[in-house]
Amino acid sequence: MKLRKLIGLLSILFFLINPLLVLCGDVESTSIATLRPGKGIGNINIGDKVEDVVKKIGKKPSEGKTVTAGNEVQYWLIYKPQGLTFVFDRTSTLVSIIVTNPVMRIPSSNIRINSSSKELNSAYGDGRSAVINDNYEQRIYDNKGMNFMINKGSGKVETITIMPKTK
Amino acid sequence: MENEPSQQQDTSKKDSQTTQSLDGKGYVSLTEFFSIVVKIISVLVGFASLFILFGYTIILSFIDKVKLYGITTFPQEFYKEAAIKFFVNMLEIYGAHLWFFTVMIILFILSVAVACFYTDKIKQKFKIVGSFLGALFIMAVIILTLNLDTFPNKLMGMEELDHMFLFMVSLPACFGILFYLALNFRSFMARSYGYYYLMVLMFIGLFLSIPIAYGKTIFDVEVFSIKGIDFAESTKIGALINLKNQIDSEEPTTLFFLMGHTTDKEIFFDCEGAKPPAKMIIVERSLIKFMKVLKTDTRSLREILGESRDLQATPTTSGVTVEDKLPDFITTKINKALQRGVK
Repeated sequence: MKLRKLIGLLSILFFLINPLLVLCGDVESTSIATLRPGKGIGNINIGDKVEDVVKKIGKKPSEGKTVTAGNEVQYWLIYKPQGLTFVFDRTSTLVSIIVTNPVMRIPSSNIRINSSSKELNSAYGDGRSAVINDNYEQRIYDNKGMNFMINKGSGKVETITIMPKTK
Repeated sequence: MENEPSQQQDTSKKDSQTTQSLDGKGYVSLTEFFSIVVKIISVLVGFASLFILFGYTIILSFIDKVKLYGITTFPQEFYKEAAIKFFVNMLEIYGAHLWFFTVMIILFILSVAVACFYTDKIKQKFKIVGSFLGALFIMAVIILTLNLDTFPNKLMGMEELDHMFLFMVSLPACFGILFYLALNFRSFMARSYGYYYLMVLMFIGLFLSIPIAYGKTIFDVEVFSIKGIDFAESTKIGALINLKNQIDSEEPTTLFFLMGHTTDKEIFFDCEGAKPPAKMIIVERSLIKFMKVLKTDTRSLREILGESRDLQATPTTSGVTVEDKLPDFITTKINKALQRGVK
């Protein structure tokens, strides 16, 4: 009887706490497909081909862009509802993923969109910094396989990019 | 046990009264009439209360989003829209899966019939099922309901699995518990037992989880793009004059949006204002004389938020050119992949 009471009590506590957690947004963020710095996101891996990515998502991208810088060409597949942009190189191989979904977070840390640059520093250190323009700064962590676009005005992370690790 | 004979007497008395009233006089007695009226009113009040509670819970679940954009005022009638939208979506999902709807209707009719004619047998069945396993199953349903985002977008040719789970598992489970509670209410009143309390709590948990999950995943503030505006002639506020000039210009550099569901005031914002911290223009409704909004371009605040972030994701370094199209060979690959996925 004691065991029954204990299970009953735990059950009640658990289902009373869960809605509160969800309302606070803590559970929601962990339930999205996992970000894998240096590797990919969910079951999508860096190195996948265009058709693999589209097949895994099962939906047509909301938008496509061709980005040219000198001789380098990139093809961007943008999935707006998911807040994800997949970047492919000339050979249609996935080279990086830009995350704009505000609820996704990097596992084992609290870093996500709208995290401050201070939080980023305390989680991963200084990293390599690159200035994009007057408004944005890019913080690159080559050995971890991620980079972050930080709005200089607000000092907050606006995009997270998953890319291959380099030593 | 002592009460049983007196209860039986009462019942037989009532039965005889009913027989007299129906067979003897040919009309329903006043007591019986009031009893029916009270029952009908109770059911209607119950439905209205559930409707309001559902509506308000959906809005409650939306509070974090509301805070995100800094919007605090909504009309009192907003809950009605939320609840109606829920029931409309429910019917749409059931309509899209007629096989499920048919099975549910048959099960419902069978359950009611069985409950009416074989109450004792049903009670026995429920006693057998009445273990903590049942409660654990319901708890799993509650947790999954609150985490609808974990469902894949597409599985074995089925789409909208989160919606399907919400309306086809969570909601029937909720009604199932309600059915159990109603069926066992008498025996609970005669001898209160712990499992009934647990099921009551489970029902409350599931009943609240459904609108919370719905509000978090489906409901959103709608916005409309503004194509023309004119303010009251007495308005000399510089910001409003600038706003009008920007909206009315032949080649507008910024798109302005109107947010729906606000009381007394209209909220305008551009793409920059769509992301928190929100930069919005809040105008007294009485100041606006005329406004033209494009309904065909109705988008949710979340979608505009996503778009504005996508724009920022585009590199703006000098020497980089961005074209809003993909080469044909990439488009072909996308189409082929989607065709294979459908098969």
